[in-house]
This record gives sequence, structure tokens and C-alpha cells, in this order.
Amino acid sequence: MPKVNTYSQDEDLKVSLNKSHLQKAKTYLLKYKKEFILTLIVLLISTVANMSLPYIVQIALDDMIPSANIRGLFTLGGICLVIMIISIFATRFRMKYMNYVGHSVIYDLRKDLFAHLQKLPFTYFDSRPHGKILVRVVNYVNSLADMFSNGIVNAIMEMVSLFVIVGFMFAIDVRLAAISLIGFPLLVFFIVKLRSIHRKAWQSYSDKNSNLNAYLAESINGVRITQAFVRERKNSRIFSRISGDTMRAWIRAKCIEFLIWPTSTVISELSVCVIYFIGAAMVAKAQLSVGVIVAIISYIWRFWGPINNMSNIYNSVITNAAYLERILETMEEDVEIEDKPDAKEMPDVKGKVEFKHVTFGYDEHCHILEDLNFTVEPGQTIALVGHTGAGKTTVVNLLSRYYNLNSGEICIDGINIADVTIKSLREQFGYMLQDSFMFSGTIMENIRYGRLDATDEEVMEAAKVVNAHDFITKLPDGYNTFVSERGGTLSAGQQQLISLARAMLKDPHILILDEATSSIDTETEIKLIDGINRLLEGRTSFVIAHRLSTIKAADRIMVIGNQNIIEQGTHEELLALQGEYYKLYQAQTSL
Amino acid sequence: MKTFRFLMDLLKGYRLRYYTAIALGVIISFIPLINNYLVKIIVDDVISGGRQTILLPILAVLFSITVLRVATWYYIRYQLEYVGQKIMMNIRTEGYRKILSLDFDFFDKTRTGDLMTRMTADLDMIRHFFSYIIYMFAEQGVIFLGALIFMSTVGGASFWVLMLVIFPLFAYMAIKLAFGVKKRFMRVREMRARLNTVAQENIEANRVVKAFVREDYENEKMDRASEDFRQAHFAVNRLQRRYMPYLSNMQTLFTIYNIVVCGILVIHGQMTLGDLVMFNGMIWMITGPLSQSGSLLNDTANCYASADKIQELLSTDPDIQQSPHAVKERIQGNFDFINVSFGYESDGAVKNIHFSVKKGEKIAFVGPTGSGKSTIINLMSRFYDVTHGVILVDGDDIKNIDLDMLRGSIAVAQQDVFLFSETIAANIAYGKTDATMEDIIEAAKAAKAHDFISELPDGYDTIVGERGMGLSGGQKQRLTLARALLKQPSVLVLDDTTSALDAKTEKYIQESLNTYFSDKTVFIISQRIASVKDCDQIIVLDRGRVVEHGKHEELLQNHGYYYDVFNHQYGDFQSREVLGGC
Repeated sequence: MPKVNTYSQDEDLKVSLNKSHLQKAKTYLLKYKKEFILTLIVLLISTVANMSLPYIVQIALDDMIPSANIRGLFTLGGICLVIMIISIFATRFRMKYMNYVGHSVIYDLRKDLFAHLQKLPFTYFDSRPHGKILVRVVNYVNSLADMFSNGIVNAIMEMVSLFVIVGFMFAIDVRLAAISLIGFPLLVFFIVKLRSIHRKAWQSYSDKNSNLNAYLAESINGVRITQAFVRERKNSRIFSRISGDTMRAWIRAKCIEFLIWPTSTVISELSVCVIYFIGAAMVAKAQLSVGVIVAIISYIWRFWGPINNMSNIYNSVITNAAYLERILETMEEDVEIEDKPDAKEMPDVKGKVEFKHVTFGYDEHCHILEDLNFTVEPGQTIALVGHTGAGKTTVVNLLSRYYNLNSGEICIDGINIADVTIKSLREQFGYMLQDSFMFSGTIMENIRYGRLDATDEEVMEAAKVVNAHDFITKLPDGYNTFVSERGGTLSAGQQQLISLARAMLKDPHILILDEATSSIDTETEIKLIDGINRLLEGRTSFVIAHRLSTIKAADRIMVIGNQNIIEQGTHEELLALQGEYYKLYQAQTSL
Repeated sequence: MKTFRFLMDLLKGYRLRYYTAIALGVIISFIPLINNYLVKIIVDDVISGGRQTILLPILAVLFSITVLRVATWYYIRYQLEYVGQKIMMNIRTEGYRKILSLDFDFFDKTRTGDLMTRMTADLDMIRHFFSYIIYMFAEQGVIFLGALIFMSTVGGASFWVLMLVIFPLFAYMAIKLAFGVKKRFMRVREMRARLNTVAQENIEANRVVKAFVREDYENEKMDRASEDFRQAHFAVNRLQRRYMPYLSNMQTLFTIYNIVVCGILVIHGQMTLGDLVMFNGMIWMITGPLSQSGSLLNDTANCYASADKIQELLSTDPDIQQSPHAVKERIQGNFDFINVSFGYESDGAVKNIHFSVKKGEKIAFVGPTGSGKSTIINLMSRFYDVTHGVILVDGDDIKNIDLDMLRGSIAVAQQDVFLFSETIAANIAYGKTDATMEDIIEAAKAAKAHDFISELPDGYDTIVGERGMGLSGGQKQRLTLARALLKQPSVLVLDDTTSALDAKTEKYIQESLNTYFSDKTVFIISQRIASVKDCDQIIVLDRGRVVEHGKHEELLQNHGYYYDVFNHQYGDFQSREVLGGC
């Protein structure tokens, strides 16, 4: 069995945010290059316009008012109005485009992430709480929307204004400009020092939060068991503990983050003081005019504005980088079972199945099946029997290539299943699983999952074959009865009937029934087997069942055990053999 | 208003801490004004006036005020985050307890995704409300008011005219935005919940998806959910776009007022140039709050939508209520169902059920799918309340018995196998957390799970995935059985728990049940005659009614449903035996 992660442990992060991740993030952004550039141009215009406001006020003060030019004042007011309109337009433009870009980027990202998830093997889902996968697809992706739109634009804009301001400062006075920038390396040094612990703190928070989500999701799904076992108090205590861990991780991360603004403010205040001190001395020696100092200082404040904003942007980048890492990590998860590069389409098969020297184990060392050989002719019904855990389900899982073999090969109609596309291979099968799963939706939709283009009549036809029709029509809303996830009010037997109807509707060439009838009452089962038998005609099928009464009619019964087939033959032959099957059968039928 | 009161009540216990932080926040937001004044002194007295001596002290004061300010700021932000987190944690805990206390009925109707959204994204909005929104409202509001008062004394009547023009305009847009956007945020919420549901079902059903090669279909489904989510955001954005740019750019009107009106006033000598300059210097105090207002109102609306949803969850009460005078005693295992009915016409409903069970008896329920077998079990643990009739437990009405004691005395090995992603040992000990390792192993042996557990690489410390992924159906069933056995209940219920087991294993389990549970009441739901034939009473149900009732031999005489099932399962074998005899 694979190593399993639980709510109580943080997931190891296999990769950290590196160049290839940034590269990948870039490809998502480049798609919206046009929108970014347009927004930047519009913002540049409006920023320049807004920056001219102080200048206009200056003109009013210095020229218009002293000369009592009322007309001039109105003109300036008019210009301000134009600037305001430009600015309103620019704000709207930015809101529209950045919202569009941000949500489109996460749309693309989620689409790819989700599509990748579909390709991952069972083991990926089996080895971690589902809540942890869920937050990646929903919450983490959502939280990136702002960073991938406004975050980037803001960063660029702040960068631009920073350069403009520094340029002005040096134009005014090189010496003072140089002095006032002394604090800058200090801040950079500080931020770099802080960066790694800051990022770790956010990572730790996102781990704790993911644990919390996992526990919560599992608690909701398992609430019936919890109530039946009166475990509410104990679970609440565990939840409080995890919740407290999450809270502490958050506060810790915030405490680190909150250091940035005070530091940059103190440094900027310090450089202002230094400028005043030196500037005052220079003025006294008449090396400098008062106007220059006032100008430089007003620019220093403007200079630290963008720096502060950038440190805020940086904060959100750090937070989101942890999420992005988790998302990209999932997208890099190996797809274990892949089409070969030259894989062909599997044509519609007749159903001859051959296992040739098949050896398989979930672990390298621990084989479940070893050197398994058998051939099934088209149209035969094969029953797989054996003790719990003997590997019956494994045999059918290998057939539809849910796992790769350690050695040997499996052929259908003489074609090695490893050589064809997975999609075309699995399309051949109708699969009815041990664990029936209902999607939230109507019963009609749940059955139609087997064949999406089936008409209502075809759905009902399939339900009739498996004797599900009767109980469905007795429900208040019939086929339109809404079932919640995991079936809700339907009994396990009813869920099995629905999921059997689903398999029927698919009209497959090879049918696999894995404990399909375990929860169905005998009366229904009699009818059901009737229906199945009609459908089995001309189709190869594999049936796994514990109730031997259900498989007596099989063409061949294979008893699986000791990593291979112990005995095989028809019901009568095996009884006559008085071997393992005979023992099983006797145990079940003796009173 | 109700929502606001709900939010404010959450502050209980943190009020002093919280309001102190807010008050400090307002105070330090005025510090830049002091700095400006000090700078004015430097420029006027030191640089222009040449009084070099006071420069250093002023700089020292300037610097220390700033240090004081950032230190206070740090303290405030810490406190706000602390309170926000505490509040979030409190509701989260309360919400969690609430969820665990709700009836089966609630979970039949509610999707996990919806509950998850409430407990994560919605809660986060509440945290945001306390850690950020209120603080910003207080700070920006005070600055704004201060500026208003100050500017109106300088500007006089003309300023009030300006405010009369701007304020209604501002209020109109702000209200339009806040009220309109709430509905759209609701839609975003819905779409997010759908996104959750689609993703979650897909993850849970990954086997089904692969078996039916529905990857493309699932991708399309996700695409649609994603697209709707995106569109919902676009809809919010369209409304925001209509008002927010005006709200954030209204500031320029003040500059225009300053240039044109104040300029004319200065020219006419009704205002000094100094006042105008000061007025100009204070515009930021108006513009800051105004440009923030849009997004703050936005967040508030969003938060209200979330708070409503959380309130709804917290105020949902379970229908099944504990009687205040409940009997707190472990039950013995005597049950009387007197004329019990539950549910209407729907599947799994039962009608006029009547039977008595004495301590130590073994009772079997047999019948077609959906005939009400599991319903009776659920009624017995009071997961639902009866619609008509009475259930007596040890002669007392079930409603008078302490719920925890009742459920604690009954162990159900469920039909729907659910395992938690913990170790096997922890899963077995789920109902009895103080169990020793010996107890666990003993229970596992009784359920014939010990052998396969020991064969696993990590034995009892093997962590099983959610829903026991990686284990076979039979293995999972044996674990749930061990879990029920370990609880050492007065009443054991096996709800089709052996369906995936082979005959030999089942036989072994039957024997161990006879040893461990000979004096306990045992209910068995099964499709197999072999599992039920030795029971003291066999009750055959059909469409919610008892159709046959008696012992194995009696029922065989009846030639009814039970007889048919028996013939189906054994007929063939018996006839073979007979043939062999010839």
C-alpha cells in the first residue's frame, strides 16, 4: 500500500519555487500580454496626469492668484476636471481588464490542474486526504487571482514611479540624492534576511490550513460514524487543536510580515533626518538653497511610498508563492500510466483476453500475482473466487490498465493493452465497482453517466434490465429524484442497482462486475442475474462475487490464491474436484 | 442590522483589547500631522532662520516619534490579527460542534462542499472584517471627519455648498454599490460552492471516472463550473466599475474647489493665502478615506453575505433534542417497537412496526432493498425520531434516554463502510479512545481482521486512506466490525456488514460473536440465510411493513418470501445432496 498522508502531518513539499515554476507561471501570463500592455499604457497616462496636479496648484498659487486672474483659475479648474475624467476612465479600464485577466489566468490554471488530476493514478488519491487535493483546486487557485493581475501591474507601476522619482532626485542634487538613498541597501539587506523565514512561515501556515481542511472535510463525510460512536467531544478537541495550530501559524507569519512596514518607515525617517542635518549645514555655508532641500525631502517621501507599496506586493507574492508551489507540485505529479508515444486506437474488440506470465505487486518486493497465465475466449463469463485480499480485484484492474505490470503482458484480441491508448482501451469495458458512487444530481443523470448521449428511454431501458426501474418509479420524483453525493437517502443496494444500470447503459464489449450484487437482496438478485445474463450474451465478462450462488452459471470459475490460480473449471467440475472451491461452497451452504 | 449585531457579539471577551487597539490606531494616524509641524519649524526657523542649535533636538524628537508610531502600529496590527483569529477560531469551533450535533436529516440534504465553504472562505471574511475592515473604517472615518471640521472652519459657507453637492452624490453611489454588490457576491459564493462540489465529487469518484473513461466529461463539467465562477466575478466587477472609479476620483473635485473657489476668495480678500495652502495640504485627509470607501464598502457587503451564511449554520438546531430529565444509564438491550411509523411514502419509510426484543436475543431483519431495515436501526439509535408510535428502551420511552448513553451503548457496524485517514489501530479504537493495544488486537481477532493486518508492512500502524482506499471491500468490513466490537456495547448491530466476506470468514465471525456477545442483544441485517438462520427472531420486511416474523423453521413453513430466498440460496445444493444419495 502506498504511504498515506493524514490530517495530522504536513505534506512534504517535493519541489520548491524555482526557475521552471516561474517559467510556467509566465506562460500563463503571456497569454494576456495585450491586456497587460494596454492597461500599463492607460495607467501611465493617468499617473502622469495625476502627478501634474501639484504643479497646477503651484501655478494657481504663484501666478493666477497674485495677478487676480479669475479666468485663469477657471481654466486651471477645467484642466483638473479633464484630469479627473481621464483618471476615472483609467480606473475603470484597469478594473475591467485586470479583473478579466486575473480570473482568466486562474481559470486556465485550474483547467490544467484539474485535467492533470484526471490523469493521475488511484494511488495519488488513495494516499492523501481528499480535502488536501480539494483546497488546491479551489482555494489556492482562487487566491492567485489578484496577484496575477493587479499585483503585477502595481509592481510595474511602482517600479516606474520609483525610477522617475530617483531620476528627479539626481537631477536636483546628486550629493543629497546619493545620501538619501543610503538607507535603501539597508532595507534591501533586511528584506532579504527576512525573506526566507517569512516564506517558511507562510508555507507552514498553508500546511496547517491544509491539515485543517482535510480534517474538516473528513469530519463532515464521516459524521454519521462519529455520531454513532459518540465521538463528538473527542473530535471537537482534535479540531480545536488543529484550529489552534493554524491560528498560531497565521499569527506567526503576520508578525514577521508586520516588521516590513515599520522598518522601511524608520529607515526613511532616518534618511530624512540625515538630509536635514547635512542640508542645514550646507545651507549655512551657502552651498545649497532652501528650495532644493524642500524639493529633495518631498521626493524622499514620494520615494518611500512606492517602496512601501512594493513591500506590500512582495508580501502577497510570498503568501501566494506558497500556494503556487502546491499547485505546480500537483501539476508535476507523475502520471504513472501513460499512452505510449506510438499508441494506436484499440478497435472494437471481440473479447478474447489473454494473461501471459503476468507478475504484479503494488510494491516491488511484494507480489500479489506471479506468473499468471490464462486465456478467455470471446463471450465467456469468468468468475473470480478467492479469499478476501487474494487479488481478484487486482486481476480486473490490470485488465483495464489501472496499473502497469511488473512483467508479462495482457492481450485483448491479440493486441497488447500497453500498446493502445488508454482511452480507447477503457472504452471497451463496462465496470461496476465495489464502491458505488453517486454524483449529486438526478437518478437519470447518474445513470446517464454511463453513456452521455443516451435518451431518457435508453436510460430507463437500462434500468429495467437490471431491475432498478421498479424502485426508481416508486420514488416520489421517479427518475428526477435528486440524490446527494454518496447517495444520501438511497440504500446501499439501491445505489448498487443504479451503478449497475450505469454500467449496462455503456453497452460495453467486456463487462466487469466487482461485488456488484453484494448489497442487493436475494429476490432482486434473482431478477438481476436474469437481466445480466441476457446482457452477458456475446460479451466477455468477469464476475467477482462472494455469494457463490451468483456465479454458478459462469463458463469458468477461477479460484485465485497464492499469487496465482489455484483451480479452475465449471461449477460442477470444481465441486467434483473437492478442492478449495468445494470447501468455500460448502462453508456457504451448510447450515 | 441583525448581521451587524451578530458580528459585534462575536467580540465578547475581546472588547477592551480590541477597542483599545482601534483607538490607538486612530490616534497614531494623526502623528504625521505633528511631523509636518516639526518639518515646518525646521524649514522656517532652522534653515531660513539659521537657528542651528535647535536642529538636533527637533530631529531627535522627529525620529523618536516615528519609532513610537511604528512600534504602536505593530502592537495594534498584532492585536487586531490576534482578535480576528481568536474570533475566527471560536466560530470555527462552534461551527464544528454544531455540524457534529446535527441530524442525519440535515446531512441528507446538505452538500459537503457547502459546509466546507462556510467553514473556510466565509469564516475568513469574518476574520477580515475584524482584522481589517473595522479598523480601516475607524481610522479613515476619524481622519475624514477631522478634515471636514477643519476645512469647514476655513472654507465657511462655500465649503458647505461643496459638501452638499458631493455628499448626496457620494452617498447615492456608495449605497448603490454596497446593496447591489451583496446580491452578486451571493452568486459568487454559490458558484464557489459549486466549484467545490464538482472538484470534490470528482476526487472522491476518481475510480468511477476512470472506469467510465469520463475524464473529458469531467473536464467539461469543471470548465462550466469555472466559467460560471469567472462570470460571477465579472458581474461583481461590472457593478463595481460603475461606481468605484467615481468614488475614488472624487478627490479631484476638492482640488478644483481649492483652485477656483478658494482662489477667488483669496483674490477678493475673504481668505488668506496661508489658509489656501493649508487647505491644499489637508486634501489628502479627504481623498484617502474617499478612495478607500469603495473597496471597504465592497468588502463589508461581501462579509455580510458570509456572516449571514455562518449565522444560518450556527442557528440550525437539530430536530432531535435531548430531554432535560434524560436517564443517564447504560441501556440493557430490551427494545419494544410499538406501532412505529416513520417517513411518508418515501423510500425506507416504515409503517406500524411492532416487535419486542429482550436482552441477549439475536434478531435478524431480512427483506428487499429499501424495505426499511436500515431505517429501523437508525430509529433505534435515535438518529431520526419516529413519526408515530413509541420505541421503548428497557421499558422507558427512547426520548427520555440520554442520547450519548443510548448511542454509546449501541454499536453499529455500518453498511456504508467509512474509515478515517488514520492508522488501523486508531480506526478500530474510534469508539473507545482509551483502548489498549491488547484490546484492539483482541477485537481485530474476533473480527478476523488480525491476520491481514499483521501481514501489512506497518501492521496496526498502517495508515489507511480516506474511506479505506487501498483495502478491499471485505477488509474494510472487517475493520468496521472490529471497531464495533471494541466498543463493547450492550447492543450490537450488523448492518449488512458481512456482504463482502467469503463464507469461511463469515462463519468464523459468527462463532466469535457467539462467544463474546452471548448475553448481548444483537441485530443482524443480512441477505444471507446462513447469517440469520440461528437468530431468536427473524423479521421479514417489505415496503416498510413486517410481513413475516418468527424463527427459521417457522418461516420455512410459511412458504413466503423467506422460503423463496432460502430455496434460491440452498435449493440447488440440497437437491444435489439428494441426488448424490441416490
